[in-house]
Formats: sequence, structure tokens, C-alpha cells
Amino acid sequence: MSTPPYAVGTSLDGAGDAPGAWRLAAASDLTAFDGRPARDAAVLAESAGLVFATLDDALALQPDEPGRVRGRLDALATACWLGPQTSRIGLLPTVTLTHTEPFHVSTATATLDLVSEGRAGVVVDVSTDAASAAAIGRRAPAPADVVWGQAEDVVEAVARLWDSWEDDAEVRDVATSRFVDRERLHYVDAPVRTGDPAPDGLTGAFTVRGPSIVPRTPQGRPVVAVRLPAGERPGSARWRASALRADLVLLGGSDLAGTQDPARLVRAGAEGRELRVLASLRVVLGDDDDHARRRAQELDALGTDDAPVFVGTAEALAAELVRTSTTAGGWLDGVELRPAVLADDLPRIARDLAPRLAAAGLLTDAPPGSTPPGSTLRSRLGLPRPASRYARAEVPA
Amino acid sequence: MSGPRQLHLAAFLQGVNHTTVWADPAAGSQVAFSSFEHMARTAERGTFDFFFLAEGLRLREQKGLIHDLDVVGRPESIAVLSALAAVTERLGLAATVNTTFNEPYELARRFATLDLLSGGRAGWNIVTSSDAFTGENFRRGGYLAHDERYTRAAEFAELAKELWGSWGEGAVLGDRASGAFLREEAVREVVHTGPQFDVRARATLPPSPQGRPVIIQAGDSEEGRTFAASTADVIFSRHSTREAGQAFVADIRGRAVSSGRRGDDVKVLPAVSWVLGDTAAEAAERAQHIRFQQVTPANAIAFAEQVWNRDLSDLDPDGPLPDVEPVEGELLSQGRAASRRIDRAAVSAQWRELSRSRGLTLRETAAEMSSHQSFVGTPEAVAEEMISFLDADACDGFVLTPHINPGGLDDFVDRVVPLLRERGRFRSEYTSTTLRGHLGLDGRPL
Ligand SMILES: Cc1cc2nc3c(=O)[nH]c(=O)nc-3n(C[C@H](O)[C@H](O)[C@H](O)COP(=O)(O)O)c2cc1C
Repeated sequence: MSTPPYAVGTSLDGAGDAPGAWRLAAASDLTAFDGRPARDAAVLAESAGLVFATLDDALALQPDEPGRVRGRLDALATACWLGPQTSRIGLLPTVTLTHTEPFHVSTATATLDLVSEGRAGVVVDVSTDAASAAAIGRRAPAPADVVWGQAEDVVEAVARLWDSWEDDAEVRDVATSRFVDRERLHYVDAPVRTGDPAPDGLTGAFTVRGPSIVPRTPQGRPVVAVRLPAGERPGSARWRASALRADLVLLGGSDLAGTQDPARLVRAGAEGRELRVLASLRVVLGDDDDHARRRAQELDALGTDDAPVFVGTAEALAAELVRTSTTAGGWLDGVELRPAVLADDLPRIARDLAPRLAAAGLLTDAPPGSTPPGSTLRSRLGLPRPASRYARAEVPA
Repeated sequence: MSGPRQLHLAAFLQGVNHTTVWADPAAGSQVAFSSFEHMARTAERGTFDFFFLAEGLRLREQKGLIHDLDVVGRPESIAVLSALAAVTERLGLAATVNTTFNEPYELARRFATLDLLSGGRAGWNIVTSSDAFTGENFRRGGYLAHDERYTRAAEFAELAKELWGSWGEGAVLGDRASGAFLREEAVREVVHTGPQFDVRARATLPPSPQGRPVIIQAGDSEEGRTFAASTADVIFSRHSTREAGQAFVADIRGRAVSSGRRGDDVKVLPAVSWVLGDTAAEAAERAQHIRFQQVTPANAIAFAEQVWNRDLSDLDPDGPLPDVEPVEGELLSQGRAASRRIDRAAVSAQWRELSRSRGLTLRETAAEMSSHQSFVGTPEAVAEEMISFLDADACDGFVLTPHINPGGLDDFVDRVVPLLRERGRFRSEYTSTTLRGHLGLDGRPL
């Protein structure tokens, strides 16, 4: 198997990944909730040749912790809004599966693929918190293992709906007055598994009849990503969902070295399925090490959390990324860089990091803009366009 | 405001109905974003109030098989409107979304996002459509009795409005020095316990520049009208003739006043179609041509089956009407609101009478009965007639339903809109940035 193209992405959330980023004078103003900070970042990331951009989300309002941004736009709708304002970058909003109808998840993410012309992905997540459960009011909160087990079933249902129209279902056959060939539309009757019993007495079992209302989209199936935080127990339901369902696994870790074992394990658990394993890392970049450290300290003074952070120069980061890449015999197919401050670290990524990665052959869109229009996110990740599971095998002539 | 009354205009993309002709050389993709962009940009060029999408959450079936004669397949509405918000600047963007297969917190949040991304241009057409057939696509499943649907819709809309209004004045501080992003006490927790919903939530977004999304309603039953007159900003009606429109407008204004609102707090916009020609004769000829494009021989049989509720596949579309009686009972056609409540005896009698009196074949009769061509004529005649509806208080404007996607709105915007503007009956440019503003509802209670 040849080495897949290396994929560099960015996160677009808020004013940056550092909790206090919004408080810096240079940070974009978040108070209007009009999407502009995310749009400006996505456009810059695209022009720097990055492959994808993620948008974080959760159902409930962020808890009241001092110094934190609270409030946000729905990530999936925001990604749709970014679609026509970008042309090459993949868009991966977080979508939570615990409370949302699988049918709505499927049709809305398929629509992202339509409006972005084949650049849709989705970072699937769950809700374990009491606030989300109370906001919806249909079920009690449940622990991660339970809701991730259910999420796996939801991903199955969603993917079956994406496949429920074969590619050539729309025939527009004037002679017979038929717009579609109904033989190529399929009931999905998902899922077959009934789900694990939850403590609240709900089984999590559900059925979805299908077919989808949305025809098959440019990528066939949007790219499915799962985040696997550092310390996640191999064998957990979330681990299983990553290994068995994800096209893209985003590994947290104290540093890039810390992702080596999880990467090996998740690949082993994939049972031969194609998947891309990426690290996810907050970055604080500086003109030199000293500058980067000063910036990190300044950010820490404004608010801290326990996210893994790379602090250093673009040159050092490039060297680490090259060393750990599968291209150079390492274990990573790419990286989600989470700029600590979008207004500062993303321009540094574009200006100082991207050219170095391009020189090392890790930036596929080099020079930036050379990616042919119409390239899908799948194609940029080196992932094949899947055939519909319902498509009949071609009858040999 | 002085001067003659002004029309409000919206463009409605039905999507999957037989009225959308797909076998015409001008027909394009019903799902490509470029189609939506073309239609929305055309509506914005025509300074329309809003662009509007229908909803249907299960592919229709007839005789147990997926109905394959009409356009099938469409994108999810809020997602596609969010994308359209990026390529339009002033046009209102409205989605039809039911209250049966959604939860208030989640849907309110999606609409709030669309409303903010578009700078205050979102609209929500609340429908209560629910049947067990559609319910099979949903985890919550489900069938609700007709009156219970409106209980749920009213409670749903009330909760959504509460959530949209729950961030008070000055809630967003964004104080970089102190690190206080929100003013905690200005963000109200919405606590609701009712027959349908038990919710405790803090919204994640402030009000948009128009306060909250515009509420549209399209129900027509007694419950539907009461709900609309007390809750909606706009009513999307099927009463598109002058007389029916007058009666409906009077009824709605009365109900609005009874619920403590001003009569014109609710704008009534009937769904209409149009066919233009350089002469009246040419328009009539085009209208006839379009009717037969809409009602193909196969579709004529399908329509008759929907009315008679029985298999009529042996009939000749160019022959006479069925000589058998309609049957009641399990529905042959699933996924259509109309075939549920139709009075089969009366409608089949109407078909027979029309066929007998004018000597029409089955297909000709079906084409007459299912055509909704409201305004047929020269651009001048159509403009005059539309204005006369407004002056007769038969509506506050129209929801235009083009029969071709994506170019079906072009001739109206190019040829009729300029005449409406010349006559001082329609805006020449936007004077407001929000949908609520376009509708003249700025400053009315939310
Ligand atoms: C002009 C018009 C357009 C409608 N469009 C839709 C639609 O797109 N999707 C839908 O599910 N129902 C649609 N409906 C149906 C009704 O809104 C729905 O059946 C209604 O809420 C049932 O209530 P009623 O019994 O009061 O009419 C439409 C109704 C009218 C009058």
C-alpha cells in the first residue's frame, strides 16, 4: 500500500483553541456571533494549502467558568455557510449524535456535501452532560460507554441513508415518465443491532426506514471523523467507534510522541479498513523559542486547561511533523493544528509552517491553489469514493 | 406610510411536486447548490421578501412503491439556506420544518444560527405534518392525533420564542480585561413543563438583528387558523382565488384581533403560479402546454388513483374516466397531506362533471383538476391582476411557485416586477436589512 497524502488541517473555533485567546487585543471580536472569525480563518487556511478545517460544537451552553467564551453557532449550519465562501478546503463540523434524530444528521450532513461540492466531513461526538439532556428533555444523561455504543448505531444508520440512493438512481427517463429508478432506491431499516440498555431504562434501540430524501452526494459518504482523547481506554465504546467507523481518527496526546501507541492500536483495531490517523495538537508559535514561550505564558495567565500544547517555532514544528509522518516512516497521516490564537497562530502556520511542509512534500496543495477545482475531501485524503452498499454488482457483459 | 399598498413577494421551491416539470430542456438539477443559488439570486434581484423551501421527510409512495413520476430528492432546508445566506445579502430565507419530528431546543438553535449568519433574514414555516408513514424515519416514531399536533406545535413555538428571547439586553459583554464574556444574570434559563415538553435550557445564542426568526404558518384547519392568527407573522395560504382569498383574509384578521393583535400583524400570502405570453392567446397556449408537461399520461393515472384510492393502471389516459366508484380505507398514496382528507365522492363527482360537460379525456380532466395556474396573461395583465387582488383585500402579496427549477422565476422578475415597481406597488430596492423589516413588521411585538 502506498503512503497516503499527508493531511494538514486547522480548527476554527472561537478566537482560537486557548481558553483565554479571545481576551488578547489581537483576537477577533466574538461578540457578534456572525460567523466572520471562522470565515476569515477558513479562507486563510485554504489559501495556505490546508486540507481541512474543523468546527467544534456541543448542544448546551458552555458552563460558567471564569475567562471562557460562552455561546456559539451551530457548527453544521456554519460549515454550510462556509461552503460557498471556500473552494478547496474540507469542512468538518462537530455533530452530536446522542439527542439528534439520525435522519436529520444524515440529511443535513449530506447537504453539506452538496453545498460544498464534495468537501463535507463530520466529527461525530456524543453528549454525556446533564445540561444537554435537560435542554432536549427526552432522556436522562448516560455515561460515555453507553452513548458511544448508541452513537455507533447512529453512524451506521446515517451511513446507510447516505447509501440509500444509488449513484445513478435519478434516470429522468422521458420515454417512461420516470424521474427515478425505484429499484435503485433502498429501504435501510437501520440499525440491525438493538443497542445497549441505558441506566434510564431506554434501550437506545431505534429504527429508521429510509430511503433518505437526499440523493447520493458527490463523495458518496461524507468523511466521518472521531476524536480519541489522550488516555482513552482501548476497548471502550468510543475506541471501538473510532476503529470501526471512522475514516479519520483525531488523536489527542501530550505531544506527538504520545500518539504513537494509540495510532498503532487503532490501526490494528480497524480490521483492515482504510482509515487515516492524525494527531490533534494545540500550537503556540513564535519567532523563536523564547517568543513562543512568552506567548504561551501570556495565554496561560488568561486561562488554562489541560490540552496538549506545542510551544515553539514553526521550524521545529515542521521538523516534528515530518519526523512523525508516515511519509518519513512515522505513524501519522496528518495533523489537526489547533491554533492557540486564530488571529496570530494561523497566519504563522500559513506564513512560516506551510512552506516548510510543502518543501518536505507534506502539503499536497503546493503551491497553494494548485489543487484542481472539484477535488473532494476524500480525494485529498487519498480515500476512495465508496460504492453504495446497495449497488448491485455489475453484470459482466 | 403613505401611498398605495405595497405587495409582498416570496419565491417557493416546492421541490418534489408534480408541478415541477423535469422533462423540459430548461429543467436543471433539483439538488445542486447552483440551482438554489440561481433561484435565490434571481429572487434577490427582484427584491423579493423571501425565498422559501418546502419539506417532506419521506419519499412518497403509491401502491406500496416509491412514486417515481415526479421530481424526487432534495437537500435539508436549514443546511441549504445557511449556504444561501453566504451568497445573498438582503433576501429573507425561510424553511418549512415540522414540529412533530423535532425538538424545540435543537431546532430553535439551528434557526437562531441561520438568523445570525444571515444578519436577521431567517423565517420558519411551522407545519404539523405527521403520519405514521413519515414517522418510520424517526427514532421518536410517531403518530399524533390532529388536535394533539397543534397542541405540540403551539407549545413548541412558544418554547422556541422563549429560547430566542432568553438573552437579555447587554447579555454579551466580551470584556477582555475582566474575562467576563457573558453577563450571567442577563441569560435567562428557560424552564418549561407542559404536556409535550419538559425542558430546562440556556440558549447558546443572542437575538438576531431582527429579534427572532419570522414565523410562517400554513395550516388551514380550524386549529391551524387559530394557531396562525395568534402566533404567525405570515400565513402561507392555499386560498389563491380572489373570493376565497377575501374570505380567508377577513377570517384571519378577525382571529388576530380576537387574540389581541392588530389585523395586519399577520401577512397573508397565498401560493400562486403564473404563465406569461406576449399576448393573452400566447400565454393561454403556454399554460396549456405546461399543464400537459405536468400531467403526463402516467401522472394522469396516478392522480386518478389518488382520488379514487384504487388501482387504475388498466385505464387509457386518453380515454374516459373510471366507471367505478372511489373506495375508502387504507390509503393507496402515502406521504401526501392532501390525499388524507380529500372527500372522494365529491372530488370524483367534480372530475366526472368536468369531463362530461367539456368532453375531456382522463388526462385532460386530470390536467384541469390539478393545475394551479393562477395568473395567465401578458406581463401587464398579470401585474394588474395581482394589484387588484391586493386592493380587494384578498391577500397581502403572493408566494410564487415556479414550475421550472432553477430558471422558473426569471421571467417574472424580468417582466412583471418592473411593472409592479412602475406602478408603485412593489419596492425598487430593499429599504431594510432584515426579513421582519421587509414585511413591515419592525417594531411589532415579537
Ligand atoms: C400552501 C401550503 C404549503 C404547505 N407546504 C407544506 C410542506 O412543504 N410540508 C409539509 O409537511 N406540509 C405542508 N403543508 C401542509 C400543512 O401545513 C400541514 O399539513 C398542516 O400543518 C396540517 O394542518 P391543517 O390540518 O391545519 O391544514 C402546506 C400547506 C399549505 C396550505
